[in-house]
Amino acid sequence: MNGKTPVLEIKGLRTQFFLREGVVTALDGIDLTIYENESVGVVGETGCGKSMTAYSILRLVPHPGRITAGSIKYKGNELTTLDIDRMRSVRGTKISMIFQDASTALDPVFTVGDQLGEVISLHQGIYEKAALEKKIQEALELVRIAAPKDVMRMYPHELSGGMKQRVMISLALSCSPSLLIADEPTTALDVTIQGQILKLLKALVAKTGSSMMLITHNLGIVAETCDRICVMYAGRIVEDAETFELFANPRHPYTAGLLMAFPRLGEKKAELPVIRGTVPDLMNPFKGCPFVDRCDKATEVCSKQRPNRVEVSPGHFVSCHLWHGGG
Amino acid sequence: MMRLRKGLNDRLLTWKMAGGVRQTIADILERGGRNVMVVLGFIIIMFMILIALLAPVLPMADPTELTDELLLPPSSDHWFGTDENGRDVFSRVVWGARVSLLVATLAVLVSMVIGIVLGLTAGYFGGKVDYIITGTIDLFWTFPPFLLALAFAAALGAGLFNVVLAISISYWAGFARLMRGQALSMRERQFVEASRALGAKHWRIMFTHVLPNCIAPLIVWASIGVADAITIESSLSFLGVGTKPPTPSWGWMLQSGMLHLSSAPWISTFPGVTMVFTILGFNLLGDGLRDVLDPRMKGLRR
Amino acid sequence: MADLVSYVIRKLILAIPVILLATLIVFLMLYMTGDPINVLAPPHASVEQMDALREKYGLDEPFYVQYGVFLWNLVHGDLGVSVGAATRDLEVGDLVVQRLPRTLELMAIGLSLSYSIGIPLGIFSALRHNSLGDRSVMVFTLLAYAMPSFWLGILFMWLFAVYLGVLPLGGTTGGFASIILPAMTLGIGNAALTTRMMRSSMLEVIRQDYITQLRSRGLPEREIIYKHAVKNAILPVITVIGLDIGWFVAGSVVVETVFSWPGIGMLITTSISNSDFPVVRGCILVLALFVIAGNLIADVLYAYVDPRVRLG
Repeated sequence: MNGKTPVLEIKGLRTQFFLREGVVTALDGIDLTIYENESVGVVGETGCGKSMTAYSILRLVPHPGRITAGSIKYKGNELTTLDIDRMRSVRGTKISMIFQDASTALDPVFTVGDQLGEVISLHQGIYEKAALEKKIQEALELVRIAAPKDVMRMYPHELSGGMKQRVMISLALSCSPSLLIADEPTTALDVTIQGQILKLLKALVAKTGSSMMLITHNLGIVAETCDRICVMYAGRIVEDAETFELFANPRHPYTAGLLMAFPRLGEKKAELPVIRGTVPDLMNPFKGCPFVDRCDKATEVCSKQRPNRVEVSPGHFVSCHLWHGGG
Repeated sequence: MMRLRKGLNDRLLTWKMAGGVRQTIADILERGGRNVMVVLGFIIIMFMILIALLAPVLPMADPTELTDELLLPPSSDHWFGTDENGRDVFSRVVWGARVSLLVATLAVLVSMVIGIVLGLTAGYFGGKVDYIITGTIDLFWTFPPFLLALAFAAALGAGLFNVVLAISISYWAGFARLMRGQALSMRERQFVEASRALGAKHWRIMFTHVLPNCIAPLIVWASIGVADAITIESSLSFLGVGTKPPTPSWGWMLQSGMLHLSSAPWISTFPGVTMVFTILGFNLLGDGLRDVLDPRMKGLRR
Repeated sequence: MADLVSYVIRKLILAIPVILLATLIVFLMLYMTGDPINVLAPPHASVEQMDALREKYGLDEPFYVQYGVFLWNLVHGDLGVSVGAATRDLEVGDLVVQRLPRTLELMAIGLSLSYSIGIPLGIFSALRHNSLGDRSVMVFTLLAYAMPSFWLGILFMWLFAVYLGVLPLGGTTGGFASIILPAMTLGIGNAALTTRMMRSSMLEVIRQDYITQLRSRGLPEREIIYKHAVKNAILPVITVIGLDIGWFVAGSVVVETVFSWPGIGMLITTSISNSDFPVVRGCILVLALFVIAGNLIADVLYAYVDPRVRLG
């Protein structure tokens, strides 16, 4: 490809939920590769499976769901068949995750210092009090928290939204993982804080040499922070390309629709165009392309046959019948 | 002309409220019917109520009749045996059911009325009224109902109505709390504001809008309340401040049966088992309905 | 810690009106039966004696004066004088204090039993949600809750004292063995409630985001459950310690009577049958104070464990 080594290779990932009412296919054949030192953005509307991809990677899919097919390789090692103890050693050290809502993602009855200390002790083997405290302080300084000595003794509810998120980032990066998954890291924050957190993330990721998978529904964020973007719809990746290429030449009708609906500075529009229709029901399996009911360019083959993933230009992949021949 | 208008208006509102209530009840029946606990509890309750109602006409011995047949074990003549005064235990248990259910139901009804009125008033009007009423509710709420009931029963003396009164005074706080919460949440709703803007009187709003929405939790609370009331009443009777003899009461039977525990355990056993059976029925119904209707109500116990 | 101290002080201050209300209710109890002299005087007292007593107790004074006197006496430990046959003219306060340790013993052991059974059982049940083990535990709690304390007591009495004959029927003559049955009755009855509470609390906590977050950090499952989940799940259980203590106080009255355990509960029962109203009143007041104290302790304990509460 481009001479870089892959950190994460997902092929044909299928994750399903076995409910009393039926089987929900949250992820239906995901192919995704993340290379060293790159930031990949995963965008799509709510329910398209972005977070579920993250949970599947770390094998945290909640009951009654599970991974039913596909492979996830971390630096060549298959994760889906790993025994649970080894998987635990991967979590937090090699692959880490930041959750969307920091106020519900931090244990409310332990101090920040306790929670950081727990993770540092576990992964770095430091138990002695003074040394541990020093490490905790460093971890907090890394995420640019002022007065780390005070914050250490505070409980999550005493911190602001932005600070809580920083603590989460600190928790995730404390062991310099090779891959950081950020699930909507700024969605629950004030607009003014969002920019700060994003800048911080970018800087830290560059510093530790990690790769990042940034999940969001906000195109503006990925435009700023990511090298590549994957667009997800109804549990599948419909298009992925380098950031600039995606914005300049969106091939999939869904991507095009998303970009058009995104308000841009300087543009004057009377009304924002909207993609008509709603997301399909993931409990009813459908042949063909999941976007068919909402697509203006749909043809007969679109409702019958599932489109293949085709490379339309170097590094730019689309799953759409319009681009069958790689035109 | 104006009076005619008002009359029609009233009728319309009553009909609407009845409609709302009917809707909720239909909903409850439908969803409750699918829950094992609800169905089981309901069957048990109906069975006991039936027995209690039919007590006067059932072909049994007179529960207060003293005979010479003392302390006889269960037989075909006396299904549950006889007690230390020669009375037929079976009929005493059945009549005891009548008494217990009567007391419990009355007590819960009175509690409900007091609780609903005070709770709605507090939640709806807010301000100073709310402050005072809530303060009183909290004070009563933290006290174990049995202790309060005991205090009042001891002061008032034994007797059926005194027991009802004692239990009501201790139990109303729960209902009041519930209604206050409901009224508070309703108060903010748009349709209440709209009604008020249209000039509807406070009481009307409370009863037509707020009350029908509370039917579900009220039934849950009432069911659990009856279970608690039976427990309290029999405990009071056990201690001697409940219903007065010769009125048969399970608690009282258990107390006198205690002396003959080794020689004639049936005197205590049968009333005890029947009592637990009945309480279980009401608990099942209440818990089951609560799980069905709103699992968030879990904090209501005790 | 400073916020904890201020919380405690605030709670103490708030407890004062509650205590006052309790005294008021107890005071008013006197008037519910009609002419108060009927219950304050010993049975079969003559008219002259009653008049003398009326004078002595100041029953002709206005209400608030009587209440004030009542409170004054209370603060000085004067709860009145017994009118019962066996205890005529003994200070109520003395009688109560004599019995207090017995009731405290019972409650202490009962509470420990309740929590040491209830909490592990609740955790066990929650971790095996919907399994056979869980279902059996739920059935057990349902049954135990449907049994009033005195019935459970009689059941245990029959099983262990009559049928098996291994434990004493009652009283205190059996040494440590005597406390087993009454404590067990109270303890197991309350364990049912504790189990249910712990179970539903654990089930809720396990679904929370921070548990998933902790897993994503690679923490061992054991630590996540027993250190993080349990600590969070136990909070609602602690909030009801106050209500638990109330339940125990109420239950002890009945259980002490069943097993002839010489505590305050037993005192109330015998006083009621002796129409010894002053003693009844004194006991109720003491029990009420117990309950209030219990609630206070529970509140403080809760604030200690959950830092979020200290602001409220």
